[in-house]
Amino acid sequence: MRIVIIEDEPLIAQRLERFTREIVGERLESIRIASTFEEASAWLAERPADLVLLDLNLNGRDGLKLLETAVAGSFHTLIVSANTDRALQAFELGVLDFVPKPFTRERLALAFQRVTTRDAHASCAARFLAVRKHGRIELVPIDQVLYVEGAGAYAELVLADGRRELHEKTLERVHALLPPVFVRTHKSYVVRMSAVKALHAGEGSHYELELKNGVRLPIGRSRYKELLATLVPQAPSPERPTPG
Amino acid sequence: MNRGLLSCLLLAVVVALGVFAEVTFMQFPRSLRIGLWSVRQQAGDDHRWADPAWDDSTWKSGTTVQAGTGPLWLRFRFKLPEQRGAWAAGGAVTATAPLPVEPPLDGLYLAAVYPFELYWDGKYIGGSGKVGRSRETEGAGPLDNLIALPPHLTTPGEHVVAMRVSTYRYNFPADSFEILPSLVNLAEFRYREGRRPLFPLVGATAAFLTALISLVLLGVVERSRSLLLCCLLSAVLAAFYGLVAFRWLYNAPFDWFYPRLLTITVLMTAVAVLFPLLLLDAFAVPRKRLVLLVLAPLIVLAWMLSPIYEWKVHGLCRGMLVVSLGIAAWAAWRRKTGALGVAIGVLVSLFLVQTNRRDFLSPQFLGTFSVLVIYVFGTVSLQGRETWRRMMEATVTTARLESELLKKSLQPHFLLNSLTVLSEVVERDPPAAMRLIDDLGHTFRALSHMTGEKQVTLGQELELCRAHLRVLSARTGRPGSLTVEQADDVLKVPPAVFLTLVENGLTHQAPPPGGREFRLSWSKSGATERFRFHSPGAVRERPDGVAGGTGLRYVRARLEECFPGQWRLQHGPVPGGWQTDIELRRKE
Repeated sequence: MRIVIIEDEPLIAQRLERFTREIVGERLESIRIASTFEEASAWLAERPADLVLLDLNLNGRDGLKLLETAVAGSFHTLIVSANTDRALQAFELGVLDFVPKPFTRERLALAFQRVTTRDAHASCAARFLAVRKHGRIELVPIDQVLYVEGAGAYAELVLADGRRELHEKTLERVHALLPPVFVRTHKSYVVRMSAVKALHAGEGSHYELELKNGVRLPIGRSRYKELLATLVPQAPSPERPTPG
Repeated sequence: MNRGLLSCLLLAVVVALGVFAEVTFMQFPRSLRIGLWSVRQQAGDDHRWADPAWDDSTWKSGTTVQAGTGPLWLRFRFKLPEQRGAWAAGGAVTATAPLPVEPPLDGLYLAAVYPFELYWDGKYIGGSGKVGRSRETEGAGPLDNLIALPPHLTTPGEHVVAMRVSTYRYNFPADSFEILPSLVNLAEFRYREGRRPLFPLVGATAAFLTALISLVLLGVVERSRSLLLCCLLSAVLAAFYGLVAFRWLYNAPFDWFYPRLLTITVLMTAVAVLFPLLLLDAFAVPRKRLVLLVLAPLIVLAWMLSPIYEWKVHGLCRGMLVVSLGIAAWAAWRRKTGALGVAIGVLVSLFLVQTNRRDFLSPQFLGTFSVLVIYVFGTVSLQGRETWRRMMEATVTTARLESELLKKSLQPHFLLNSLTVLSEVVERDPPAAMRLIDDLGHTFRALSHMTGEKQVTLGQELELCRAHLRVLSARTGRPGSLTVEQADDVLKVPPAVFLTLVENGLTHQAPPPGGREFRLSWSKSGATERFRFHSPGAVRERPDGVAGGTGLRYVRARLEECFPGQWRLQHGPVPGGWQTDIELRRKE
């Protein structure tokens, strides 16, 4: 795991580093401490990271813009801050956890657990997804997202009005931020279940999912039964689509 | 419409009303003055000297009468021609105003500061007081004397007026005076004299009300020096106008005349001092003593100018207006509220005094000056309202500042970060942790002591700043200090003002390589104190920029609360850092 700690107070940064090393153990690939967001950004531009531990008040500056920039990145963000009044806002913007200061090793370990747990929905509180667009950050409301399509190291958010927005996170990381109404239907798709109109079973175990707007998306073979059970608990036959 | 134009219009209306008032109320009754060039006088006492046939050719000739003497006889001999129009040209009589053909001259008016008996062609027609041989035996009569002349005595031809006088109660410092009887029409004289007190009475009432309102405002709203001066000036003006009106309201004994004139002159002297003082205070003019040093010789000069009291008053008036014009012009140049109106008013008053030398108490001048005083009063009241508004704002701000200060003392970010650092230091270096706890305790104690205080000593404030810097130094590992030059620890300052400047420096400036050394110096020039605060390090963003400014708003609000309108904050980048200058004037 590649971790970047952004903290302006050296003693706190050292404490975070010490605890991180203890918690992550051998899985830790690299750890970097930056005292400013600019310094961290320069580092992140050249080397990918999995997780950023971010203080919201760096050198007395308000951390909202900082937070928006961080959550738009490809990495997961954990907030370690004394500004607990910003916790709700942080969760809404899509951070995995908010560790209030002063923190214990146990509390930090819990946060790391949320990062490492596969497909864990850390908070279910995210209301926006931050996307970088034309050099600035835009917040896309999650309730406008119909489905998310994986595109390699990125994910594409498909919105109800047909717009598509590119997110720097992988599909897995975006999924981790989304509420449970979003279900992984395919290795490349995460779909809002309320937007599904029907399931179609084709020839040769080829399954498709039809959205209310008419768009058809493939369903992973291994995920079909699970999906069907989610949508229609007592479905009589896979050939008969569920009512929309 | 701007205030200057409004002031001009107001003054134009006042001058016009003054002209109207002068024509209506203050016009001297038309009259013929007699005896100006033909007075003969003889010391002694012989009633035969009233006889028109008495040969007075050997008597002393002269228009002035010696003070402190008597009994004394005076005789005027003159001709009343057939044509009244010719009187004005006569040597023995002179017209004080254009003469009417009608009504007839049927009275004799004499303002006498001495007792007299008056004989017209040998017949006793009237008198005042009791002519005596000494001050003790002399009796004071009324000052203004209007004596009816029977028609048979004013026939065309030569007439002789003889007067028996004594002058022991003359009272004036001058040793001689002129005797000036006038021929008038009784009805017209009474009508015009009856209207003369109206205008001064209006002035006295207005000034009295202004004084009363000032007094109420002074007692209830604001104890300001300007209002006190306004109150005093209006009270003095009310007394001044009252004394002017007094002569026409009550025909007092003539020996009151000199004390009355002296009092009027003293009152005018007070006006001449109070009005410029009021302007100096209302417009917050610096170097007040210098201005008063210019005024003082003008006042002395006015007193020495002439033995005639109207001229003294005239001189006082001119001196006052010249100095006031200088003050108002300076204030107008500095764009002080109401200064332009006052400058115009003073200029008009000065013009009226300069162009109306005959009678300084002209309604134009008095009207303009009254309005001017009321205008200044209005300006002072507006300033008072502004102060009141600022006070109310400050009261609201005080509550907010209390909460700001509390927030500073309980600032979660500062406290929680400090605790986080503490939890690390406790594990690594317990003695250092103890020092940190001590400094934290020091910071919170100092802040809690300041809560609720409007001002604290500079010593308390510096102690707080230093404890705060020690905590931050422990947290960041970068040394921070505050050095103070020439500032006394007992100076009073608003709480947490310099702490806020320290915090601004920490937030908005990059730390210099060798650590931060904040510097504070204090100096005083006259009544103005200046605190200069230097915060080291390259400026990352202005402390009043779009990103914040909360700290500076706190500082400004605190300064306004403690020194309303008497402070100035300037700041900007300087080589090596950021400099903040706070200038303030404490209430005396």
